[in-house]
Amino acid sequence: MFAFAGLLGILIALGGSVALVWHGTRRRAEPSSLKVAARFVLIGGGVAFLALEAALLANDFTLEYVANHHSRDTPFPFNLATGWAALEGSIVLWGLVLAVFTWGVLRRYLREPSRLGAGAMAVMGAVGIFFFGLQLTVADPFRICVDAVANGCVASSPFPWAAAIAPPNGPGPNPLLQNHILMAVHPPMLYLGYVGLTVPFAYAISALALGQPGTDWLRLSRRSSLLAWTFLSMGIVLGAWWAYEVLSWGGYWAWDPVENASFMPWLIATAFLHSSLVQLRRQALQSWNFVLVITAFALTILGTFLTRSGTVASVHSFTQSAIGPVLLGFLFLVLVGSLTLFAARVPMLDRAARLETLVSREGGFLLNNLLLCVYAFVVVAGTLYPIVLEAVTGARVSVGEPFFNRLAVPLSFGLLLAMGVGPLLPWRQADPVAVADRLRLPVGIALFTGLIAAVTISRLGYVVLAVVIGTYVIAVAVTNLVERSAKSSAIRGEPLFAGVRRQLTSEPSFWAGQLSHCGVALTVIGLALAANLGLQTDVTMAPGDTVDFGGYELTYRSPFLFTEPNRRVQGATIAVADRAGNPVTELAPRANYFGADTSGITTPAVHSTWKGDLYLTLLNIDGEGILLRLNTSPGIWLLWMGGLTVGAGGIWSLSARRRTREPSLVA
Amino acid sequence: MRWARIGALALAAGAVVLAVIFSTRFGNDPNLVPSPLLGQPAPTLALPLLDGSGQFDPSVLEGRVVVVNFFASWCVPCREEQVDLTATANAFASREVIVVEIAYQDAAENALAFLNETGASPDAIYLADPDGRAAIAFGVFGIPETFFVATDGTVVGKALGATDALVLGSTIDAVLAGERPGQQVLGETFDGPGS
Amino acid sequence: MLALLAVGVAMVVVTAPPPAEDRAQAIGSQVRCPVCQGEAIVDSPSETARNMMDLVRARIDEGLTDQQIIDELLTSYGGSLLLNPPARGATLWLWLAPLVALGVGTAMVARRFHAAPADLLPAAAAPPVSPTLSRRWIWGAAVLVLGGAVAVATVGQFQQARPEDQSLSGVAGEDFDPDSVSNETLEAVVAANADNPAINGMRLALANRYFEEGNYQQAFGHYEIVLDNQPAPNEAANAFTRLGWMVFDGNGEADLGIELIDRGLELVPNDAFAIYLKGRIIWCGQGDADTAADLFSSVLSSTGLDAEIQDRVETDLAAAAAGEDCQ
Repeated sequence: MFAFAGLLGILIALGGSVALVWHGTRRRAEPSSLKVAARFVLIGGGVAFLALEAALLANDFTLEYVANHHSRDTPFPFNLATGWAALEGSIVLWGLVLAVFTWGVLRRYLREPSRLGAGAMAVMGAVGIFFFGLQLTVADPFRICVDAVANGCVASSPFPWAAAIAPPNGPGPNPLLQNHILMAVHPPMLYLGYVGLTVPFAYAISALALGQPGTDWLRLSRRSSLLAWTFLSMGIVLGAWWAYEVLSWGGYWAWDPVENASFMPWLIATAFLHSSLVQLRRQALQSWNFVLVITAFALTILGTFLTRSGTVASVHSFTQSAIGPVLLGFLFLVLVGSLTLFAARVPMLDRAARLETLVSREGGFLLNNLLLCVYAFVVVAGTLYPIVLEAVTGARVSVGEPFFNRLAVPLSFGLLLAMGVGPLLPWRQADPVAVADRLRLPVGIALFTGLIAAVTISRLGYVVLAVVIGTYVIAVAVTNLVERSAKSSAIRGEPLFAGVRRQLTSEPSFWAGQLSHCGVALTVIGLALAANLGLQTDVTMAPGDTVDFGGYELTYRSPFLFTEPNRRVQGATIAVADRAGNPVTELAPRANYFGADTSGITTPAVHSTWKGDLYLTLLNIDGEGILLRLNTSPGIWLLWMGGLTVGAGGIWSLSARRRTREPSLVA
Repeated sequence: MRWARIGALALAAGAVVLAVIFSTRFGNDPNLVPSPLLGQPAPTLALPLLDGSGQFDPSVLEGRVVVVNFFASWCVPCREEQVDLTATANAFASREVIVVEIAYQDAAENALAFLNETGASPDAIYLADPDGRAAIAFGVFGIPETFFVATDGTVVGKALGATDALVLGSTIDAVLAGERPGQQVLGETFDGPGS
Repeated sequence: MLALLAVGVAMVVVTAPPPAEDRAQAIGSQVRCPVCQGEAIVDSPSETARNMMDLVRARIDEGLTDQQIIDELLTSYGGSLLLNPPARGATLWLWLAPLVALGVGTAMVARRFHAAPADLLPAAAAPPVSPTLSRRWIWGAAVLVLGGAVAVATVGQFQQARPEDQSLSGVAGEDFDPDSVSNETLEAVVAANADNPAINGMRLALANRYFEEGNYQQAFGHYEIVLDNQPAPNEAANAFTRLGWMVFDGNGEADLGIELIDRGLELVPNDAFAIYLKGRIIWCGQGDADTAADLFSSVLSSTGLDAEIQDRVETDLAAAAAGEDCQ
């Protein structure tokens, strides 16, 4: 029954997508027909998603997907999250998100009908045909199980009327994925980010195809770009957080292909958000913006391909299926199609005036674009190089953390420096002397903080440098706000507080951007502290043993073992006290055994304070004795706070934009 | 303008090349790394005997074909191949072939209990590897892994995953005949007891 | 800004040579944990990674240099164990590429600010551009897409067709040929699968080989086991036939031999080899050349006879028909 409903939903969405392409490419598009088509896509995508979730909740093991990825014992909300924990389900969620964004494009189109908007709807429809088509073919989540074993399905049929044989229970989702609540949150966030980037891509292709390369496509898609970027930022941070809480190596970012898959489009999307401002303001960088949008969209598909095709070794490469060649074909089609379209349109672009000088706001944006694009290039090159090299020469190499860090660190510092100057520069041309004057106070604050950090925290070069440059970026934002507010409140004769409020409400998107800058600065400081000052040691302990570590006294009390419906848990109770012996907390690092799995998933125990985390991992338990890994992660909360602040900047910008919507420029 | 067009077309051409390269990768296991030990001298096996009766003297192996197998009681496929390893050790004992089994990341008592259950050969040698040094020296990624060492002490073959008597026997035949069988994947391997 | 950098750099405290543990951590961060993905051995909690870290520490204590320690690990695991690809050889390009990208990018940025006179011409002076796409570009894109698709498909075919470069010999499969395997191997196989009827074919192949070699003692046991082990009719017939010959040839028991061969012939009538052996026993054991000659000629009338057998039967038939004693 769920299979019928789900397949019907997919078919409706597919039909709607085809109708979108049909109506969107007509010379005189009918808003009402587009609306009906978009409604079909939305309803179809929603029905498919709900059918899958309902099947999971109802323990309907006649579906192959449910039989192989779900178990009766999986607790809420992991049973819901199973709906996107495996390949087929994740494509269903992808389809639903795409349908929602398509609906958003339609709403914008209905408010402001134009051929550009209709063309964008057609491109959304084309992408929809691909993703809903996947759900009917290589990634069909509604296949019926026709042969089962005790805990899974071994043969299936695509026809919903096939005679079903359901296993009594399933193996449950991948143990790594049912170990932490963040797993239910972070993939949908990333998908919202990935899929959201389809919208600017759709507008860009529409603008190129129609030969309307003005600023309209940027204006119409800016909100979606911002939304996608915000979700992508949050998704990346939550993913790092999940890795830290679950993967028990005390780290949060390993430059794994899956992490890179989300980071590459983020970098390009960030570059696009900045360079599109230059075009909106100065009509320059037209072709560059097209290239960025096409690249960002292609990178989302590349990322999906890398993580789903099984061609790249990765921590997260959970799935391996026939979808690889199909995604590769789509990526290829997108890149070749849109780049030749772009090449054909080059004569229409960049007829606007050139820029005057590098010492200007647009100069700052260009510098930022250069650094971000080189950054993205480094990540792409490092991720793809092993595959390309092996295909060409057969040689096997790994490209890992040391390579990425060596290049990413200077690039990040460069970006922070650009962030610390750009916002102070006026458009067109800046007076270097005046700018230097305004930099004096933030530089002073930064150096002073750096000195304090060197005395109190660490004299390690990277740490001090990160603190200096990070504080500098924050100081620039704050002093800029205070100076501007003071100026306006002096003119109006109102208190400084009112001036600040006036500033923040009159130019919300600028200040939202500054908030995001501060978030990046916090993240970099947190990274520098955690990566350089963390301690690590392994200790063997018997019950009653005590060790001194990282300013704590850790006493091993006893091992424990208990059973939950979906897992067995084996662990150790560790009492944590401070140096003086006052009890602080009790931690229980553990290993979880899911289902019949004999290999455990270790779950670290974390004690967080504002100074940093104490992070315990149970490496081995042998009778009463344990082998425990002790880590400290100083200042790691800055990393999470910073990442969420970046996202908060995006949300602020989005909400402010809604309130102060400009009157439309095009009838 | 000219440059923008050339650049875009170059990017499109790059996409074509990349797509072709990726399409050659389907079906390859990215985790499979060919062993650099093939053709190199085998590491010496100066290890304690598994039953705790002392140190093994690796000079016993000189001039013989040696089958080095890494196993553990927690490894599922090892259980399947153990009976075949035992039979091979018995059958080839008269032909100067020695089977050496090394317990990988396993407590000696667990490994011995495993051998008691699945059977052991009087002609095979069972060793402990308490620090994992032998596993590192042989470049073990996940067990079961089986190495074939020729009479001159060179590693000439490696099998990943559970072997069976036929694979073992025919490979030994080939090694005895002076061939170098190389590397082959036979099945799933396991990283460790707790991963 | 420079002052900022200078202060930052000045604060880098240069200290004495790093202590052993720092060296171990530095080496450990360069080496990939072989049982993990992309994790360094210094980070990974896996036992393999911890063993490797202990090895690194031990080698430092033994006084080896960092490079010697890393080389030791690379000897057994290969170059892909290095997380940090060296800036030489095949991975030099990886290090150069970002520099090239930075150079190209800088040139592009510089061009933005280099206002060439031609760029300052008003836009109206540019040739008018039609908003409809020319056919040339559409066809070009189509050809690229199609060509690429063909290339991808062709390469995929080629990839599948390519044989494995390195593989172990003699993997058990449907078309397994026991002739290529030594007696010891087959012994090992059948020993490992003692009670498995599926192995009967292999056991028979081994027994037949002993049979051909005249090693009746070895062959005998295997035939008996086959007969005890739910044999298929043709397998049982094979065993009975050869057992029959062996009891005659080895022990001179002609009657028992004929009885056994007859049991085989009940299961597979008209088996040429069985009839031939039966004829031999009748001729050599019971001295009945006429009956033997009849049997030999009936063997020769059956089709698909092995050339070697045919020769032997023809020779024997000629001798038996002439009333000679058997050879």
